[in-house]
Amino acid sequence: MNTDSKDSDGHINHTVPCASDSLVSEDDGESGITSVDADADLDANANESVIITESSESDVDDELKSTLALPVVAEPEKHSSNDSCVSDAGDNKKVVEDFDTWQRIIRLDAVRTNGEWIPFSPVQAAVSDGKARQLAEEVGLKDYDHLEPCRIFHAARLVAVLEAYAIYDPEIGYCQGMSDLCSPIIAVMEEDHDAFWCFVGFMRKARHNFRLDEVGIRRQLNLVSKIIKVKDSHLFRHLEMLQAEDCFFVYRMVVVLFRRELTFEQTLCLWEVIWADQAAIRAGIGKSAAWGRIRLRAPPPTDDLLLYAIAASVLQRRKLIIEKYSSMDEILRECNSMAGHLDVWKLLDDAHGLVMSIHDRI
Amino acid sequence: MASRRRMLLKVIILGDSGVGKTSIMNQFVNRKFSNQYKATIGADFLTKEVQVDDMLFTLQVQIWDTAGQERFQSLGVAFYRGADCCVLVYDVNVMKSFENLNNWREEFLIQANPSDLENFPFVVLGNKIDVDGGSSRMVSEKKAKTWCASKGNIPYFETSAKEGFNVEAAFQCIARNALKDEPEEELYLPETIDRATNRQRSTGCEC
Repeated sequence: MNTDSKDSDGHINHTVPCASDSLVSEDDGESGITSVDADADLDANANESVIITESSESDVDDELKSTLALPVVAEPEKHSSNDSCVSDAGDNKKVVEDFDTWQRIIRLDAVRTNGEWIPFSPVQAAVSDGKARQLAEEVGLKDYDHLEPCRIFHAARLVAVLEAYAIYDPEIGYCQGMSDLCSPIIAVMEEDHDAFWCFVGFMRKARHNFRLDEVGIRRQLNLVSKIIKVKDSHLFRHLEMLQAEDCFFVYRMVVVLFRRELTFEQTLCLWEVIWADQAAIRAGIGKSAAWGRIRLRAPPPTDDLLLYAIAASVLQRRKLIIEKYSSMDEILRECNSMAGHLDVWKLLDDAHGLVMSIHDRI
Repeated sequence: MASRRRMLLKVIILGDSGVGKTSIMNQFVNRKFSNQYKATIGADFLTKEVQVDDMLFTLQVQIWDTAGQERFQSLGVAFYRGADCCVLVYDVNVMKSFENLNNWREEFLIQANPSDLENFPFVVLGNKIDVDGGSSRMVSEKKAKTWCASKGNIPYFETSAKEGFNVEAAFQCIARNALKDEPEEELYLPETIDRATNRQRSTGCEC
C-alpha cells in the first residue's frame, strides 16, 4: 500500500501514510453511495474503521506527539502527500496544494478564530500567558500579539491538531472551513490527542465536504434541493425561475455544518443531535422491531439530518423568498445573514417534521 | 442618457487564501479593517454606490468575495455569472500567491466564459504592502507589472487593505474598466428589466 517505506528520514513516512491510506480507501468505497442503502455499508465501514484506527493508533500516537511538539517533523512528509493528492485528484489541470500552503493557511485561520468558546471552557480560558506563548512558539504561530492568552493557546492547539490531520489524511490535507469544525472540539477536549481522534471521527463524514472532486458537496446540495422540491413545489418553481434551484445559497451551511449561522452553544446542540441520529443508524435502530412501535410518534433517524435542517431554514423564509426576492444573490445574502437569528430548537423541530413527512420520498 | 439612472456592475475578487480579499472588499465598502475576518466559505458580496467622476449616473458596484482555495472553484461558476470585471489579488509577501495569478485568471475565463475572452477586464492588486514596512516583500512591483503587461496590459495597483492605501483608487479603475465592457445599448434599457430578459442575458444566448 505504501511505497515510501525506504525513506531514510525516519518512521513518520512509514506509519502515517499507512493510516491515511486506509482511511482514504475506506472512504472511497463509501463516497459514491447516495441512497439510503448507504446505511448498511456505513455500519460495516464504521466497524472496519475502528479496527483500522486501532491497529495504527499506537504508531500514529507516537507520531502525533512528536508532530504536536514539533511541526517541522511534518516536512519530510511533504512529497509523499503531494503524490497521493495528484493521483487522487485525477485532474491534471488542477494545481495541487502542498503542505507548505496548508501550513500557511492553517496558521492564518487559527489566529482569526473567534473567542466564542471561552465561556464554555473555563480551564482553557484561564491558561497562563507564558504557557500560551510557549505553545505558540512550539507550533510556529506568528502574528498573534493582538490576542489574549487563551486565544493564543486555542490557536496554537488548532495548528497542532489541524496540521496533524493534514498529514493523517493527505487527500484532504487542510481546507478552509476545517478550523470552524475543529475549534468546538478543541474547546471541549482538553488534551490534544483526544481532540485529534475526535476530529478524525468527525471528519470521517465531513471530509467529503472538502474533497477536490466536490462530489460530497454536490450530493448534499442536490439533496437539499430535492427536499425543497418535494416539500414545497411553489417555492421550488420560484427558485427555478431565478436559476437558483441548485441551492448554492446554502453552500456555506453545508460545508461547515451551520457553524457560521449558529452560536457556539447552538452548534454543539445541533451537532450532537445529528451525531445521535447517525449513531442510531449505525446501530441499526431505524430498522429494528422496537422502532416499529415508536415510529408513529417520532421521525426515523437519518444520516442527513443536517440537510433537512438546512432545508428547514430555507423553508422558514419561503414567503420572503417568493414575494420579495428576484435573484439568487438576494437569497444568498439572506442565508449568509441568518447568523444570530436562528432558533436551533425550532430548526430541529422543523427538520424532524420534514423527516417525518417526506423521508420516504427522498 | 444624462439621467440619474443606476447601473449595476458585478465585480468578482479572486486570489489565494489569506491574501486579503475580504479585507479589500470591506475597506472599500465600509472603510474599516479587522484582522478577525473569518475565512470566506463559498462566496459573499457587498454592494456600494459609486460615482465615477466624469459620468453622470450612479453605479451600484456589487463586489463578490470568494473562497481562496482552489478546490471549490468549479462550484464557483454560479457566483461568476454575469461578471463585469475580475479583480485578481495576491499578497506581495507570498510568492506562491503571485505565481497562482495565472491559474486564477485562466480558471475564471473558463468558468465565467465571458463573450469577449480577449478583452475581458481584469485588475491586479498586490496587497499587504504595509507588512513589516515592506521588508518581508517577496514580489517586486516590477515583476508584477511585467506580468500584467504580458497579459494584455492589466491595470496594476499596490494596496494595503489594512491602511486603506490605494483601495479607493483601485476601485475607481475597476469601475471604469467594468463599464468599458458594457455595450452601449445597455444604457438605454428600461429601468425595470423583466425576468425573461434577465434570464436570457445570464445564459448569454440572445442575439
